Amino acid sequence: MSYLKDEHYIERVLQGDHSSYAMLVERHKDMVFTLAYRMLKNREEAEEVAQDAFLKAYSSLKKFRKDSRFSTWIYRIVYNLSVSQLRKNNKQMQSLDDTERPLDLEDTHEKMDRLEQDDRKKFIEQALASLSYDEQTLITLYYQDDLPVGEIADITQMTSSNVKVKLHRARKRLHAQLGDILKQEINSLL
Amino acid sequence: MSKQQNNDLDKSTRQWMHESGLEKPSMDFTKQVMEQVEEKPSLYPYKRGGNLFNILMAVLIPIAYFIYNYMTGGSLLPVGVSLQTEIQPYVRVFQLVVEKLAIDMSTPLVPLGIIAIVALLAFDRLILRSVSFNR
Repeated sequence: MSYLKDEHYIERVLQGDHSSYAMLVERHKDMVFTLAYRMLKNREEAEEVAQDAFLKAYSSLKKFRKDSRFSTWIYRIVYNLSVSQLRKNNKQMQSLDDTERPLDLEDTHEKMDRLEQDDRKKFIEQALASLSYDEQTLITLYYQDDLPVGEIADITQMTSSNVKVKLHRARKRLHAQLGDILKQEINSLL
Repeated sequence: MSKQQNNDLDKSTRQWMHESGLEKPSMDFTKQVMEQVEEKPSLYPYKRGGNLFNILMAVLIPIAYFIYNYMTGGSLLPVGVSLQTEIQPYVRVFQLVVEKLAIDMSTPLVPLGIIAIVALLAFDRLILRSVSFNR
């Protein structure tokens, strides 16, 4: 089956074929849900916010500027909805641990390499969960969706230099958390 | 932090994040979104060409009705209705208008038209929507 661009389906929806929107939902639902879930840390809330994001995008599809990508646009919507939801919930919006710690990269890498993929995944998820919502968003967009810094800045409404600084800090914090988690895990086994 | 360390950090983060993959929403996520899209026509992003057309029709149909009456030699007003309505009982005027409408609507084309609209609506709701949704 040939791969049709998002613009094709958007055009069809705008011409009245609303069932074409299912293709766009299917294509972007995982990333949209992941962003919401990493920010809200609750599956039900994340699912609701992700659905709202798709409905909001659908009803405003006419306003969608063709000079940006549909994915960038829907990520911005889900990011804003998640921030609103966090404010509504009055949740902690910053990471709990702001202190800079020395990194033992080699040690962490060595331990990670020795782990099974499932365990690695579990520990990465744990380490990610300890980051603030915007750090998680940056890491997810940059490393999982491979978005350029400029596009991430567009989604999060930060400046590009701010994204770079925060990304660097988030990366270090992720590794530091991972190091701590692995140390605790080894200690609990001994 | 040296440039080399920074590159290592970047490389391993990318590798681990790709390995950890994306979270998956519930199996019927797309279906749920599309159900909401179907249920709320107010969300439709495309221009529903109805509004201007409806307004025009609301104005043009009564005008066409009176022109038709005039052209076919009939009075502009229903039989028995005088422009001097102040001397007539209003209930009588209403009764005459309703009678005239009932006569006009008694042509077999009207019930046939209504049956056609109901059939098209049923066809859209029961067949077209389910087919387009399951596509």
